[in-house]
Amino acid sequence: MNEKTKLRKLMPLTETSFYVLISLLEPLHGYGIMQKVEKLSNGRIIFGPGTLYGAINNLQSIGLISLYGDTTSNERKKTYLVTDNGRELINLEIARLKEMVENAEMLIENSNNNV
Amino acid sequence: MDKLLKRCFRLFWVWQEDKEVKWLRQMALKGWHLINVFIFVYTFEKREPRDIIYYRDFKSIKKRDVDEYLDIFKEAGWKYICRQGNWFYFSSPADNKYKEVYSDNHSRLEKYRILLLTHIVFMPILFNSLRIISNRMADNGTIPMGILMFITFAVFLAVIYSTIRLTAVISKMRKSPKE
Repeated sequence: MNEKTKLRKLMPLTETSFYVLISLLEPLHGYGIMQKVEKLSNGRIIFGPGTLYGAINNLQSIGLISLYGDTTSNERKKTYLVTDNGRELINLEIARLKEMVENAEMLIENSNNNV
Repeated sequence: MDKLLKRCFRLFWVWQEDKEVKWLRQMALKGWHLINVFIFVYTFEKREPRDIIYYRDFKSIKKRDVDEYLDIFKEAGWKYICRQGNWFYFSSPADNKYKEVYSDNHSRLEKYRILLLTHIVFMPILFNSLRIISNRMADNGTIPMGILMFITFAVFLAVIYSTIRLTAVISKMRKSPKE
């Protein structure tokens, strides 16, 4: 099974996983992710600590994100960054989400015209 | 001055989290702040009455990951109180922006799913212990052995009951189309 097929099996990502993943296109630690996602979504998404910890753990275990930087340093807080696979999955998700939005827009427009 | 402490014995089932944290909040409003939990015994310390909310998380976690886990809670305004096995107790001011520890259905469900799995793992262990004890009882029945048998049997029934209730909670959560 090639990489792309493996990645497709992880789709669709939950909203939480997706936002954690895209926020890690730059290196961040846990709280940094929370703040960034809150800002990106204009305050719509507020991650609880339990949800965030679980998402980080899960994404790391399936290899979509990984620890960033010198882990032997004294820096206590762990920082993460998206992996190549994670980046690839973001692209696949963008295509899927675009399709959903375009279809929804088209159908609702059609139905509005028919009213 | 010595700290004023109070200990209460209370039984809460695993799915009765809401009831438990509501009680803890009411205690804090009366000035009794939770400082420890040990096998159904809750220890409180007398301080200023405050509106504090509590959360009990279930996390099976490796030792080296505990710091990071607690850190994320801390940064979200949740103070770690104590740990009992895989149960972690936290408190936070009631007006915390991050008061929903699990902010989506998916992760909330995951917590309960792992809890259910833990129950299922325990069942054959308890069943086997029961079998061994009852075999011994048949050979030579002593009073301590009888008590042990009774306790193990009670725990076994409790785990079965808890499994049924948890399954119901999970299937109810699953019905929501919300992620």
